Amino acid sequence: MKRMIVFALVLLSAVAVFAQPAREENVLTVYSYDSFSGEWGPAGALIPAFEEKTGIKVNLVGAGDAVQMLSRLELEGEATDADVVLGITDDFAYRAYDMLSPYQSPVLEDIPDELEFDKEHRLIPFDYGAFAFVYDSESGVRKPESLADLASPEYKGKIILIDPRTSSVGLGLLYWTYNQFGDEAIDWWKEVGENALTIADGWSSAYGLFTEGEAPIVLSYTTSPVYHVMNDNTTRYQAIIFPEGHEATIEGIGILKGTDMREEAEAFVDFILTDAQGDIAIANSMYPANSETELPDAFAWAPKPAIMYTSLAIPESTRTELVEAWTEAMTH
Amino acid sequence: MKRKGSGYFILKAIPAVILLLILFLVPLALIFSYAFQDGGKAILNVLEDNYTYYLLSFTVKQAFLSALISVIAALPFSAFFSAYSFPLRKTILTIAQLAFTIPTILVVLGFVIWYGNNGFLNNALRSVLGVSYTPLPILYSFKAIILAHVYLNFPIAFALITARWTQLPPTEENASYTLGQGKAKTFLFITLPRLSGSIASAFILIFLFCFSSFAIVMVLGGNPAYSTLETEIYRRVHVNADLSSAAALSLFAFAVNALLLALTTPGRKERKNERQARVLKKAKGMKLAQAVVLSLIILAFVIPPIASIAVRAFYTKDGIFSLSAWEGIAGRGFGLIGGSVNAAINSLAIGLVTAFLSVWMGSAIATASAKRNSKLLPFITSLPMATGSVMMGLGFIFVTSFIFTKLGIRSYYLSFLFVAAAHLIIVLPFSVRTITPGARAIPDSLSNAAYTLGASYGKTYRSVESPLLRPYRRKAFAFSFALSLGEVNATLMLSSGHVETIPVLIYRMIGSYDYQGAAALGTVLLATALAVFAIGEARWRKDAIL
Repeated sequence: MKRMIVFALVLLSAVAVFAQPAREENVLTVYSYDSFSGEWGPAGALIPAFEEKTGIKVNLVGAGDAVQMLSRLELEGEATDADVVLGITDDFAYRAYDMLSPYQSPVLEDIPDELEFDKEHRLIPFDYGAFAFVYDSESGVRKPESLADLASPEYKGKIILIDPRTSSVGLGLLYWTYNQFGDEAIDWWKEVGENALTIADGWSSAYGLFTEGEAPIVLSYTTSPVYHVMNDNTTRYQAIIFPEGHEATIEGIGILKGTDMREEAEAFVDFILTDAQGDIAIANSMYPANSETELPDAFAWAPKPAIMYTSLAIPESTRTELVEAWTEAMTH
Repeated sequence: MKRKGSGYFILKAIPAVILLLILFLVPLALIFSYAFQDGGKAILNVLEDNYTYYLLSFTVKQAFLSALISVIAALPFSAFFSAYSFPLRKTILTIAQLAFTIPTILVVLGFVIWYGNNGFLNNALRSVLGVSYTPLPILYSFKAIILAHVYLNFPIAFALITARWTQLPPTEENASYTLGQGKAKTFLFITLPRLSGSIASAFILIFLFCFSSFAIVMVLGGNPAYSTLETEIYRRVHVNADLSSAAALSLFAFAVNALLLALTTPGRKERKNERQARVLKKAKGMKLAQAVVLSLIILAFVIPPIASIAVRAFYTKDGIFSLSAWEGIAGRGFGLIGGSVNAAINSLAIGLVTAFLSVWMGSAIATASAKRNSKLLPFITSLPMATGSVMMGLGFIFVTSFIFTKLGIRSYYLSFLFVAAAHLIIVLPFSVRTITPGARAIPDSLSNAAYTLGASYGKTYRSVESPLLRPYRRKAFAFSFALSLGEVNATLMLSSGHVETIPVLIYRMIGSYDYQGAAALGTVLLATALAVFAIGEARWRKDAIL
């Protein structure tokens, strides 16, 4: 047994050496969500490009998902190493403002006003997406025309929804229905819930069920068809634009108050808002915030809604009440 | 009464206890302290809210049914597998554990690809029966939750009960038959009580596993009314950002589970001399036919959902053969060449280290608790199972932010060690519970004889006690390795995204719509597990028992 443990430890250290990146002092520390920071995320190509362009070394820390990242920043308080935080979404922006310091980036003029988080620009939008229902145009199901249309009995068992208690996409739909129907949002959920095949725990399983053909309509993003056009060479899956409008989700980047590398941090933010825009948009399947960005042709299959709401318009207390009302109505 | 050598074994168990303290008990205590922030009001709210009890009753109901059905379903198979030997017997015992190695999201997808309304099974039935409706609407219902839980957990019950049963010589049963008792009566009053230790172990492991399940419950249940306590804890942490009420609710769930654990952790029992193990009869004629049928039933239940994932890695939904997923994981797009090879090496290394250490610590804890008749050690090491992944995740955030920021230590090695240590904490309950029935079955007279002959505690353990634990250790190794291979939450949180394992890549690929690539990586995981199990089997073939 002892021999086996020794063997295991040797193996472990061998692997650790093999993949070891060196850490240095005086680097810019950036917190981001995991899917951005991993080798397979957009950071794999972007960070070396930034380091080469500016000579500033970056230590990119994947801090879980957006919520875990915030929790970590809150726990660390002023002791945090982070100079920049990337990937705070509009629904949790209120928790981040106090930790951030404003930055009037020169790039702001290329970013549409409706994406603005706060007047002081503590958080600056770098990409955004819009929630939408995606449908399988070869399934024979009639293309729904509006949120209300989804309650029609012909869609019985044909819709995959996502739970607002466990998913930001599900929460996005709840805000969407609230922004459109007000207090009657819950009634919409009750009716359309009857048509739902299932209300999944998250986007991943919901979309997986959809591509396996379990139901022809799923809650996702307007950009979802882009993947299928670019990789499967099919336009079969299409995002439906409702004329009444869509809920948007905006991702922001900000500079922490306690940073001692202000100048480098500003350079990083500007880089994300300019050079990095195309890569981030493709990797995240989102629209770039900078309207000057050029995108691949496949983005023609990601129609932009004419009207977009955001959760920034809904007071924090109302948001909590909404989820509680949802839970009350849907689980009892 | 303490047995000889208990001090020695307690010493051996210390590393595991220290690890638990640093990475689990301290951060958990810190989180639970949030529940008392406003003078316990959050806890009162939880206790006074009807919704708490609604969630609790559903959670307990599905976990209880899942555990009960898994155990009952395992009994007939265990009875046969512990009585007869036949070709491929061990292989089938091993294959049953494969589903453990793939992350939950792929288990869900495998289920959908196989049992789904538009899955293989229903499509095959449709074309055979010539109908257009769904012939077997299994998913998106309460029974789908139970089916998926039994699917994942049947192997635990099957392995644990078979391991114990194989060691029971049929002398008492034979005596009962001689006295004219029927088969049913003999089973109920003689065999079942003798198996009670391993049945209880399996039941409680499965119960706790299902208690905190939520992805399967939500997706396959198809109705938000099917919600477990874990769903609500998740919501309070991630949507409401209300740590105080989340901590209160999870403290409540933790208390329920801990109570259950305390009640079912095996205590003192008189041990009889059962020195000779049962000799497996060679299955011939009718019995061999029976062996084939029973093996096929197990395979027909276990294989299709995981095989569906392997099939999906090569075929698109429209049935077109495609290697694009494999080209993808070999490093196309914005990935780095060899990224998945690196991840495979990481997964394998962490899995092996975790499994070796978990068996080593698990044996120490199981033997120490058997020698001492202690309930405390197995109880503490089982607590991680009572916690649920949401709170465990918060605990890891506490630990990482403390060590990385407050202490200013940051190194890749450390992330790596943390991930392995976290995996160890997660799998330890499995190995302790797997080995304990074996440790308790070692007769004192055997160890005492060795001490009388002048052997030290260490020597006695190595040459007398340890060989008797071998079949249990082997099970523990397989479970630990499989669980570690499929683990994703703790890996992400403790490594700041820098330690990439295959499950981590699977989640990333799904996040960017590449389900086929995820299926391909899932296939890599299954192949890795199969290879390790096969090597283990070759190594252990000499051992007669299992």
